[in-house]
Formats: sequence, C-alpha cells, structure tokens
Amino acid sequence: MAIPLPLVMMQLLNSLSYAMLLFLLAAGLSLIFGVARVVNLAHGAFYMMGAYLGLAAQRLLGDFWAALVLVPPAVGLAGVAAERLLLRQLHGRPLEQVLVTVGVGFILADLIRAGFGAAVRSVPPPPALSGPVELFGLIYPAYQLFVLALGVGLFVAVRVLLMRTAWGVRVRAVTADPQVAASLGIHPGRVSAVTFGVGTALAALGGMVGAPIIALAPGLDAQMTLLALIVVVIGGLGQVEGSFWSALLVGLVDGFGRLFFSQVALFLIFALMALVLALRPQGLLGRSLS
Amino acid sequence: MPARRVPAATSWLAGLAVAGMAVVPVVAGGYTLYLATEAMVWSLAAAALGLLVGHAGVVSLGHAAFFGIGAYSVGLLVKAGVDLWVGLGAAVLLAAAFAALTGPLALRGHGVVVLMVTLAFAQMVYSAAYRWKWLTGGDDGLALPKLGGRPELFYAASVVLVVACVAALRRLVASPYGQALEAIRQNESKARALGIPAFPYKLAAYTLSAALTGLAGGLLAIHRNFVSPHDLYWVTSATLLVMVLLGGSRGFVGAVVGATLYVFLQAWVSSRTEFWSLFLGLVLVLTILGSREGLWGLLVRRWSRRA
Repeated sequence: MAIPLPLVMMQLLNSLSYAMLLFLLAAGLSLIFGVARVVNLAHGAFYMMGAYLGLAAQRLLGDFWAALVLVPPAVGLAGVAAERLLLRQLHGRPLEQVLVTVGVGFILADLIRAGFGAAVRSVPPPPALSGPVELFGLIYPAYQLFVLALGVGLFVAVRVLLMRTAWGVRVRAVTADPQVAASLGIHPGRVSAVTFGVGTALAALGGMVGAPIIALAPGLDAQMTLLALIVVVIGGLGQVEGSFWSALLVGLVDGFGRLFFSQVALFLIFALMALVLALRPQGLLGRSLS
Repeated sequence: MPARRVPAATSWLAGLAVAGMAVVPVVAGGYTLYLATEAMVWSLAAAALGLLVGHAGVVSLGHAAFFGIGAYSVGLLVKAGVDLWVGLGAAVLLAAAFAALTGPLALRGHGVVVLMVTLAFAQMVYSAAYRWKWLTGGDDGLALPKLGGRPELFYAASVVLVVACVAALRRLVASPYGQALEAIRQNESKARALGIPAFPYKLAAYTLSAALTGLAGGLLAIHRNFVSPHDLYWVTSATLLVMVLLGGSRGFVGAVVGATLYVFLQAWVSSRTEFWSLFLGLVLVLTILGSREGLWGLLVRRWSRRA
C-alpha cells in the first residue's frame, strides 16, 4: 500500500503537534508526582477545565491571546487550592490521595457539564492561526505549527526553570529525596503547593491549546488522564525530560498507527507501555523509586 | 481489622444485614429486586478487589478487565448455544488465566506502578472489545436472551454466593497464607527476609481475586441480559475501588456495604438529578477525609463504643 508523501508529512505534523499536547499534559502530571508523590487522576479534569474556561474567556474577552494568558493561571490556583485543602491532609497515604483526586475529577467534570452542557464542541483555531502555511513546497495548517512551537518552547522553558531557578533547585531536591530536602531547610509543603499550581496550569494550557485539535465532549477528562499517565509511565515518573521524549514517541506511534493500522491504533499505545514496563519498569529515563 | 477488635458487634450487624438483604428485596420485588441483585453482583467483585487492596497491599486499577472478560465469556458462549454453567466456568477460568498472564508484569513494580500497569492491561482488553465488532458487537454490546430463571431465585442464589465468598475470604485472610499476605502488605522486604515468597503469594491473591471478579462479571451478564464494552472501561475499575474504599478496605463486609450503598445511591440520586458524578465525588472526598476505615469502619467503631 503506497501512501503519498504529502499525506505522510501531514500526518507527521499532526502527530508532532498531538505529541506536544501530550507533553503539556504529562509534564504537569510528572512534576506533581515527583514533588508531591501524588498520582493526580483529576489531571484530565484540569485539562478540560482549561479547555472550557478558555472557550468562555474567549467569548467574554473576544481575544484568544488574552484568554491564553489568563485561564491557565486561574486553573493553577484551583490546583493549589485542591492541594492545600485536600491532599495535604492525606500526606503519606497514597491510596487515599489517589481516590481523592478521582473524586475531585468527578466533581470538576460534572460542574463543567452543568455549566457548558454535554454537546460535543469543535472549537475553531483563533483567526490569526486558522490559515494554511507553505513550507518546503507542502501546505500545512498554521495552528498545528503553532502548537508544535509552543510545546518545544515550553519544554525549554520548564527545563530552564528546573535547572536555573531557586524554585527548580527545590523541586529537584524534593523529587530526589523529600527528607534530605527538608533537612536542608526546604519546605516540601510550600514547594508542593507551587508545583501543583504549575502542573495544573500546564494541563489547563494544554486544554486551551488542544481544544481546536481534540473536540470537547464529556468523558474527555478520563481520556486525557489516561493518556497523561501512559506518557508519564513510559517516560519515567517524576521526569519532565522523559515526559517530552515519551510524548513524542506516543504521539508518533498513535499518529502513524492510525494511518497504517487504523484498527489497532489504541492497542498499540498500551502495548508500547506494557513493553516499556516489562523491559524498564522505571520508564525510559526514570530512576527506580523506592 | 475491625472484625478482630469487635467481633460481637460485627457479627451481630452482619447477621442483621444479611437477613435484611435476603428478605426485603424479595418482598418489595420489581426495581428494588433488580437493584439488589445488581448490588450483590458488584459486592462480589468489590470483595474480590478488597482482598488485594486491603490484605495484599496491591492496588489494582484494572479489575474492569476481569469483570468484562467474565461478562463477555458468558455472553459469547451463551450466544453460541453453550450451556450457562459452562459459560460461568469459562468466565472464572479466562479471568484467572488473564490475571496469571499479566500478573507477573503488573506485580513487578510497587504501589503506583502496579496501579498503572493493571490499568494499561485493562485498557488493552477494552480497546480490543471495542474494536473487534465482529466478535463483541463493539459499542452496541451484546444483547442476550433472558437467562437466570426467576429473578427472585437468581437474587437468592447471588446472596448465598456473596455470603459464602465473604466467609471464605475471611477464613482465607485468617489462614497462614492470609497472615503471610498481611506481612507482605506491611513490609515486603521484611517478609521476604523472613522467607515468605512474596511474589508467588501476591500472584496467587491476584489470580484468585481475578477469578472471583470474572464470576461477578458473568453474573452481571446474566442479570442484565446485556454485555457492554463500558463494563471493561477503566471507570468500572475506579468504581470498584470507590466501592471498596467507601465501605472500608479491610475486611470484606465493608466492600459489600460499599457496593450496595453505591448501587442504591446511584439509582436514587440519578432519578433526581443528572449530576450523579458530582454527588459521588463529594461523597468520596468527604468519606476519605472523614475516616480512615470507610463508612463501614466508622459505623462499627461508633457501634462498639456504645456497646
């Protein structure tokens, strides 16, 4: 079966922009897991919150860019509140923490349904990015290129934040060993609250940017949580860099899986995860966590 | 274990609950009977998961796979004209076989990793069932002929089965094997140092739990005359975990209470508002923040303090 080159290139770009969405989602989850040791199963709900609030903010402000600046920090504050009010109380009890995040996810998803209804919504890209762009003789939609650039830009930004700033040093210290970090005068609680805020804001950013690519519908939260978990597990828990490469891998496997083996595309991702876990239980770039 | 601390109160309450459970729905009939049967089927699966979560320290977020494998085994075999009992046997065996196959990979890790690997395997089964339309009917599910005889009888049989399974599981956790599992749950490396072969013990618990969950899935197919791929979806696994935690993860009566409460609450709340998830989320968050042992543990503690 010969598949024409433009189609392959198109699918490559689609896969890469999808991968960047996965990265935005997974980076937040991974940061949160690394610092707070919490598997946040409400992560997809925060993604969805970003998407729907982004939609509302665009309608209110009439501007995509203003909404893009305002919505993720607002959702980040909701994340900080969830960490402070709920997860802090359950420190050291991982099962209870996981289930509380499940509860938070249920609550958020239903609140969104109450506010925005259950209809499937496809969101158009902002006018400035809705046109096509010509590149190397082939035509691409501008929005996919924007998402790709944003993802790579944020990967670099998060890396610089983690490597060069005081907050980054604290995050890395707490991720490596909370007790030693605490004995060095780092307040794990404070770091964990900020990280929760950053992580959920990244998820919300993913939701807002992803809305024109993945249509909004009830149940999207569960789907996105699942994808984020897969990416994080493959990349290694608590590893932002691992999440980036793993998101690329999952995006490409999914995109080309759909193109070549449309019947089993979903299956391929799970098989990939099972394979990675069988060979390297700690993930591609992960260290084994005690 | 609450049962150990207050045996009198627990057995008294349990006796009362079983009696109520057995009589009321049969008298009420109709929708109450339907829901009560549904509650018993979920109770069986929740108790099976409780064995893993509460007594082996293995948190599976993939029990939907066993549930669904059980349901599809019965559904497909019955449609092919095979005897119902053979179908139920296949439900148990296939679920156990899937657990024995995936367990070695899933149980390699600990804690959160186990949770995610079990989830991944379950989603693989889900996507298979969803895609293989020629076999499973895909999204439309499988509609079955009426099975299971008179609803009162089927209900009575499911109550007997649940009571028997809970009793057997309680004996199991009190047995030397159960004590060894408990030691593994508390501290796996210490248990291993004491000469307990942790991995085969956990794998055995995982397989047993899967077999019982498969049986529950088969019963669900008979009860509903319908199999849906949604029974394989990961939300079903989360629902089972919620049931276990709602009732209290230790001891199996809690799982039954949790499952029953869940089924009836869902029916009641859904008949009044479409925001069942919102309600469930609030109950879940408040239960977990309010008590370490779930609602059942809270009740038992109250009761024993008064007695």
